[in-house]
Amino acid sequence: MHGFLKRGKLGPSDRKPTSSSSSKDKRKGPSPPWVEKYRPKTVEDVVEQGEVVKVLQQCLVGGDFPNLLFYGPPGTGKTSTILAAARQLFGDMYKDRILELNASDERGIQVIRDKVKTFAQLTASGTRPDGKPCPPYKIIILDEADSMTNAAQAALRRTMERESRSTRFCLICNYVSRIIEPLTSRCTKFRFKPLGQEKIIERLELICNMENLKADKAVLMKVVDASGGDMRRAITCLQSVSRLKGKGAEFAIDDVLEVTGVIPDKWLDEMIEMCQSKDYNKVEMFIDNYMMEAYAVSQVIEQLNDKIVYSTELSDKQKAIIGEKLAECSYRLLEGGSEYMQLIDLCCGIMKAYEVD
Amino acid sequence: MSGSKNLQKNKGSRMSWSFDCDVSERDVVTPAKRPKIETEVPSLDRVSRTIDIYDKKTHINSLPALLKACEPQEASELSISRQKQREIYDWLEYKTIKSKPCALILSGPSGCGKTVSFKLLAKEKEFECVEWITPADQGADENNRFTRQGDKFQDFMVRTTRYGSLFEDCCRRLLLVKDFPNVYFNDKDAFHTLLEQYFGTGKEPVVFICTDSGGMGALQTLFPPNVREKFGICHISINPVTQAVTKNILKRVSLVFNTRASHMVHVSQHIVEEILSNNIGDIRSTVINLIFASLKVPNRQIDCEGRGRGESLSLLHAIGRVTNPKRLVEGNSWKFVHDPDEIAYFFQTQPSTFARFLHENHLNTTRGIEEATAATDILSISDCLISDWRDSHLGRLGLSFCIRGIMITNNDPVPGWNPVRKPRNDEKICRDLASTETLWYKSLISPKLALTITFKGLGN
Amino acid sequence: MSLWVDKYRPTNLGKLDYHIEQATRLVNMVQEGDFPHLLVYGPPGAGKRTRIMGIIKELYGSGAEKLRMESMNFETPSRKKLEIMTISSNYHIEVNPSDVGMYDRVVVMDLIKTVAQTHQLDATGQREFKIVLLTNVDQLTKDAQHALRRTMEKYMATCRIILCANSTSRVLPAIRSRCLGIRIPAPKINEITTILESICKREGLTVPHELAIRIAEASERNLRRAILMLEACKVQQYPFTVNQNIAELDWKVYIQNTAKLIIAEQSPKKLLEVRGRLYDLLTHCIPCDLIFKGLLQELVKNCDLELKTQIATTAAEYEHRMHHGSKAIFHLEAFVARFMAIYKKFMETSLEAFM
Repeated sequence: MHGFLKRGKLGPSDRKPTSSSSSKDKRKGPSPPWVEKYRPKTVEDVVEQGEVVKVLQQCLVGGDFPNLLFYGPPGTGKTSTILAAARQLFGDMYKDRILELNASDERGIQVIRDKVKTFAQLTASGTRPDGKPCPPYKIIILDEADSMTNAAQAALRRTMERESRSTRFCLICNYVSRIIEPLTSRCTKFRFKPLGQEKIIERLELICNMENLKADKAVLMKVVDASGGDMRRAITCLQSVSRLKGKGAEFAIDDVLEVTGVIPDKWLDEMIEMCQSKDYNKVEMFIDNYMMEAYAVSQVIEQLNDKIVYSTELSDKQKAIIGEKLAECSYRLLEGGSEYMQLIDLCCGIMKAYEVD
Repeated sequence: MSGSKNLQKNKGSRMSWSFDCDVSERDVVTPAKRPKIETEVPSLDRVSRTIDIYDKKTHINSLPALLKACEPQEASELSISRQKQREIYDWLEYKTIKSKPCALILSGPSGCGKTVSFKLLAKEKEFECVEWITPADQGADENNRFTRQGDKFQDFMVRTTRYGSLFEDCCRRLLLVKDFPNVYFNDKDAFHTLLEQYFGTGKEPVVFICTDSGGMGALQTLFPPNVREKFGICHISINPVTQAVTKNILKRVSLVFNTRASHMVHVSQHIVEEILSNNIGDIRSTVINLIFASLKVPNRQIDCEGRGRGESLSLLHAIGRVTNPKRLVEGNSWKFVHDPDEIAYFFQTQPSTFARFLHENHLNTTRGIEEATAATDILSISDCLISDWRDSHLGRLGLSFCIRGIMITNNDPVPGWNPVRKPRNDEKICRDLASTETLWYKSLISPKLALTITFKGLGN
Repeated sequence: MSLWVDKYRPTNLGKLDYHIEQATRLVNMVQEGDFPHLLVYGPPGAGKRTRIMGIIKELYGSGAEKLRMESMNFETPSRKKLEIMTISSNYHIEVNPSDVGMYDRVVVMDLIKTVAQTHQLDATGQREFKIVLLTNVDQLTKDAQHALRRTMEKYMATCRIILCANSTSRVLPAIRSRCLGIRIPAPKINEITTILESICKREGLTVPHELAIRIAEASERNLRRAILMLEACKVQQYPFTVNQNIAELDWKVYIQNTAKLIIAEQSPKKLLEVRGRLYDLLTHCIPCDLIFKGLLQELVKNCDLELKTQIATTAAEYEHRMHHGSKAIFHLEAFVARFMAIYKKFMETSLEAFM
């Protein structure tokens, strides 16, 4: 458990080798994920999110801040921001001053009571080892807070009040509506906007330069597209491609598609065309072929959704019918339904939608 | 009003021929028969000696007695094949040496006649069977100490027969174990140590009777091949009863019924054939089915018995009530004669078993495909509800839903006698299709090698 | 005598017959000396395992080819004992955790823990890490997948996990994002044909091009199945003829015949008969989703478009329900009954229109 406390977050953005591993491990061990490597070091580095940055900067100058609640879509820099802030506050010892918990850890009431409490009760001194003053409190970061049970959230409420002298909480979540009211009222809320394409590309270009990768702007655009404005996914994608292609290789659009599992548009177009033809046999044949390509059906649903929503050909009524079918199939698929069945059902739904004027 | 109520009650008590009623109640039901018995059995102390005569002449008044009467009396009436009888004889004859431990395992599907056959054969060879019955409750001994089941069993295995009964020392004794104490299923090693002990100090031969239950039975868990080999335990495996044998036995049994219990049951050729067609190699359930099918019940309708009487509703009855729902029409409204919730109440502890039985049997009385569609849909939903382990209430709810649903959809059941069938076992679900496929082709390519499974071919 | 499938399985990445570009990438990746966890996915018979074994061999050399089978024992928190078969070499271990059903979580966690905590004894061993190969990942319960996600990160230093699945739809996004996905599409018909012909050449047989194409088509682009079919054909009749009978899979034929029964008559009695056949399929290890698929494909053949969509929707609904429940037969039968009702009505109305 102690190792866990030190190591902090186990989430996707933290795949760094354990700090306690031997030097041998460091020599031959996995290179750190780029997500870690290129995490902003200071609050100023955080891409976009101007407002949040401004407020936080002021807090840092004052050396104190209230309990925080960050919410917004994934990969917009919520975790990066709080980590950067902590680093600026505590300097090198920031790792001892923060406790990160995320959804993949046990996070029932018991854990909130025990682990959070024990950590909160450790006293923090007001000076750094090197003698510089630093704020006398610790930060507990609860990532993916929206997946906590309501009971656990309620338990957190009291802990938060009791430990307010020595501990600041930072709750991070995607959907603020899933956090219970008493908690949100105790925190200062910050909304993180989805990142603009330009900003992500800027960042990706920087990384490409550092890592010696050659990539067109068009390719990077595709990366951004495929990752849906999620910086973390975009960076992970870059790294995956570089692993497959070897160092210094040139990027192509196909590589990006391959790594992210995004389905080339031609398949989607063909699918819609087949459905428009209202010929069941053709649809069946298409699905057989499609399944052979090993593209995930869940991915079709995701991409098709975007396509349908922004389509100019379909009437609102048609969109509604297809949208409903998409939701139903997606749900069944997640529950373990067979891909073939759900895809055929989806196509039947689209065919029906085309019969409506 | 009171008169009709009385009638109702009377009717209720006459309906109470369930399998676990005691005899005294029977006597109340058919008081007319009582004097007859007494005239035929002159004095009580002669009863024990004239038991055979008693058995053959009198009428039988209770179901337990009825079941007893159709037990086989001689080897030719047994349900197991001649060859297997021979094997058991041989074992009794040659393998059992006085005062030396030796063991035999009899295995076979439930109701194939293992116990009955063995007891009869042992009796013919003049063995006395001492059977182990796992004590149902924790009894304290005279010093108020509690003994564990396992210890008692150990006592039984090793010591019981050291002190023979003073009266009958003429015949040899034999231990019979059918009902293994549960502790051994969790702790196989303890059982094996016990076996070792038995083979060291035991005096009498022991027979283990194991029911095959698809891989997890006593045979596989307690007696793996290496153990059997180590102690030199003989193993005789008995097959399900064949159709021909069942037919013969039913013939004999129906003769017994018709001659000696004609006031209770009437067996017709038609019923025998029906039952035969649903035979699954389980002679015990076949005979019970036969009795049930041919019970002489006034106007064939079974009244709902109150729970207060502490009687349990048998699975067979309940299935019948659901698949053949009776409605009581009162003016414009109607209700079921048997309250669905009451049936659900009886089986709430085993909702999935009941649902499987319903599934197996409901189609027999369904008239059209539309009704069948509605019923299967209800079963499918109730399976989802029952399988949800997160909430125990859902199990009950699902069962109630499925019973009610089937009763309502089936508003015009097809009449006819449909014996209740056991659902098939489909537990064996293998996820690795690739290896199944490879095996299948392999059997085409080289039929000889088909059985030797090489795991190299275990595809992705 | 080993089967052709095994005999002609390419043993290293350089010898693969198709997806050659991908193969060179994989070699690239391995030569870098390090790679993240992998998620290899593709339809059955596309060559996932062949590629995975190729990667392992590329990493560790021929030592990885000495395989042994062992059974490993695990204990659940409720002290139930589990036994699972593993295939392993000195460098890797392969397990299909879904073999133990709902207890797969225990296996996943314990297995990776034991593997990761024992260091490579062989100091000269080229790699710092061992490989854990988990097959049928899409069959894992959600619980096990969550456990996997945590374990994956914890033991990154000492082991790499290769996940093998038919599709990524049922793999948690959290796991997908932690792995490098390697998609392996099924080989094309002409690729299969070429491979079949080359196998025949190496066996010293001649195969008519048309027959090879027929086999490739009958195999549904499943290379393993195609090679098995070819060998079965050879046993049945050699020299080959163009029109010779190709041994179909027994269960496919069985499903087709079942569908014919359903179309022939719609009554509760027929439903009972169909139930018996469904039970047979289930006890012969045919996965339920394939039964659904097979039935659907056969049943829609005689219907018009309106009916087809209706039936497909019904099938999708019951198939999904099956995953909720525990008795597959209930849902299969409910689907058949629903089809019968729909079909009967359809026949009656079309008959009336005809009159």
